[in-house]
Amino acid sequence: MNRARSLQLAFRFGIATAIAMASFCAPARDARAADPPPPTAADFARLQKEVAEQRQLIIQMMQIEQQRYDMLLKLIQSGGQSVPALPAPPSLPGASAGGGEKPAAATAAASKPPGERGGGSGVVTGHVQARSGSFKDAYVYVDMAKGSGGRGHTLEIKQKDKQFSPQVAVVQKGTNVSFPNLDAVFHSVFSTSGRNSFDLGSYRSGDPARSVTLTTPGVVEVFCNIHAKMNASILVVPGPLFTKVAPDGSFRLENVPVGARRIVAWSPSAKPVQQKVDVTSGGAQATFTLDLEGPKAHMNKVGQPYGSYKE
Amino acid sequence: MRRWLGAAAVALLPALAAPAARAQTTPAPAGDPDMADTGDDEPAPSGDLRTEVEDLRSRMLDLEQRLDQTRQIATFRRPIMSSLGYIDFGFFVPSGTGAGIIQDAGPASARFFPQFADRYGWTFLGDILAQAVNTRGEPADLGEFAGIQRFDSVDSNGAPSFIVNEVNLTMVAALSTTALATASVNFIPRTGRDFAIGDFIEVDLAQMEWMPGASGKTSFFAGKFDSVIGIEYRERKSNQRFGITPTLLARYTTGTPLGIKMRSKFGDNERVVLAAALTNGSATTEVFHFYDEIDSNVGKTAMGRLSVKPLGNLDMEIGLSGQVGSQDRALDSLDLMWFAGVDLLGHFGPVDVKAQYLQGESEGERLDRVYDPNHRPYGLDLKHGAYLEVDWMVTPLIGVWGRGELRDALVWLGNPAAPAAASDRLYITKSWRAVAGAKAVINEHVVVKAEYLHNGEYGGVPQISNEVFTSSLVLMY
Repeated sequence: MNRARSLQLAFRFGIATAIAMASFCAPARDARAADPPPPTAADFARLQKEVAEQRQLIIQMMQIEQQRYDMLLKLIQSGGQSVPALPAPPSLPGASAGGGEKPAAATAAASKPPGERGGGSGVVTGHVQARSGSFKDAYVYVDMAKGSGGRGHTLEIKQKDKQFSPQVAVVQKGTNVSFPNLDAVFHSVFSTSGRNSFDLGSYRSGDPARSVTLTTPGVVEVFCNIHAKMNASILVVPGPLFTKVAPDGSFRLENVPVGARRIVAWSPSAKPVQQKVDVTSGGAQATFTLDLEGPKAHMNKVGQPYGSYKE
Repeated sequence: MRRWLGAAAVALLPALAAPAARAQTTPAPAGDPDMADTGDDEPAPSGDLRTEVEDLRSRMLDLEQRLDQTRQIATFRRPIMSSLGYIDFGFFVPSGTGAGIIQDAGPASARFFPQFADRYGWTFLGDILAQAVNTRGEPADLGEFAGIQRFDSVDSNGAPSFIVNEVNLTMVAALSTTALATASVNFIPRTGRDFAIGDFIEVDLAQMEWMPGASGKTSFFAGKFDSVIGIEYRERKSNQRFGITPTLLARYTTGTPLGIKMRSKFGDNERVVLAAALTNGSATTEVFHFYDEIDSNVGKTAMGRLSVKPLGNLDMEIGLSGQVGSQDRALDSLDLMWFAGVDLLGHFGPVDVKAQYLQGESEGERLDRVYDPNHRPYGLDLKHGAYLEVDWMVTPLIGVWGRGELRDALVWLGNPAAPAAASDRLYITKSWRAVAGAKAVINEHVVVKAEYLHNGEYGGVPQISNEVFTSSLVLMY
């Protein structure tokens, strides 16, 4: 009895949905044909089936969303100590992740940002130049408010011969950066760069490498508290849309979603320069001029100058 | 019909709610609302769930703001001064009497250097600092010689002994982002005498360093600071030195004179470093025959060092350094005292190579002048002084080192051409030294070291029993 009532209710629900959708679509149909033919029984059955499939899909999505938010809640409550794997949304394009210096062309094609869904993408090309002098490393990226990030990905910056290697790196937010010490002497890695500040303490070769997860987009200046000359720059970008500038200053940033975008150029020896670009499916161009800065002294982790004799 | 419409509305609600919710949870980037958001991959919540998520977001924002505020407070409340230092505790086993010298006494025919028999009241052979037991360079004993009064800080008489070599307290204060004040004070517990405590305090650094300019590559110093001669001054302290004892040349190069100094680094990878100073006296150490803490003459001492890294990215520097000025302890500025040398410092992975060669002279007393007994300048002829040291961190825990040294020098009090005077003295040093040691770096705060010094004599100086084994436990804080 209950089952019969349920079926009856579902049938009424489907019919009502079909009528409602038909009424939404009516103006479009009116534009195409002034006198549409009356629906047949076959049309009615097909519509009924589509509505049922859509409804099923919506229920699935809501269930998965519920799971994701339950996980998020657990994550917040645990203070990030245990990170359960979040279920992926059922029909979203794959989340991208980088780490190190993977250029956008290598990553973005495999993982288009969700903002791109249905909107298409274009290629941003251009040139980066220095107002005076030349730069060694420069990157261009799309500054996004949100991105899938590099959670679960790692980057290794070695400490060897009292130097960081690599000295310049670009990672997506959420990337875990580890700093193995390969020197026999102690190093003490730290950064005072805003929300990405960290202090890994002192350790040496043979000790387990210590690491930090960089969660906030921006430039992270990394130093050793013992050796003043050790420094590294990590650019934390919000998403996978970044690329390294070629030695001749040119760059090509692929799979940039169409629309108004903020493109940023950065080099460790210059402040970031940004530009608003209207990206179309036909592409866009941007030119950046970096103001290179000379070497700057930095403070140690307690905010004091190192002094002349700290090598 | 009404029931049918109601059911349709319920069915469409999730589909209609989703885009609406997405629009609310996808704000444009902060500060630039016209920019499109390219990266929102969070599915839209609905109903109570949406309220819960909004509440969580609000709490997260609140927490982030409070975190920023806390960070700001921590930054501004950070103390401008930090204290560090170490305790250096050791055990040493000297040989003989603990003294590195013997007296060349008796009739001329019985002397090793008879030519000086009728000139000086005392003629000493060997190196007075040969039996160094610690990083301060203190010898196990200065010897017991009638009529000679010296401050014998260890005075072990050749016995093995435990010793607290030094307790150091270094205070560093950031006066601004470009100015640093540093004071290093040593507390040295020693044997008392005649009911007086023997402990003493030594201030070995009291300086202000100013680093104008954004690069911080140039520093100006004022006060009592590190020498600029050679390279050994960089590790004159227990917590800096790879081994334990200083070289036979350290007495000339690791003092901390008073005055003004500048040090500047140039080029890529600081390829060229130039340091220059104007000081009261020389860069000799206070416990040696020469040193002016407070100057006793008008003439000042100019000293400098120029170093270059000639081989690309190879971390090896070659330096030239020297100093010239009125001789220490003199009441006038008539005569000069000078040192000049070349040094090499290379870092090759876990291996460091250090080498230095030094020469120097000081005139001493003139024939035609009468000197205040408290201000008699010593004469010096440092013919050759050199060392080569190799330090190797075999593992992060274990390090070993070896060093070979040479010192060929004459030090005298009283003009060599003057008539014999009982108070005049001469030190003849023709010494070589071989040093070997090992250490264990327990952690960043604890290092244990052991070192053996074999001192030898040549050039007519008899062999002296002056070997020493010494050890050191350095506790850094």
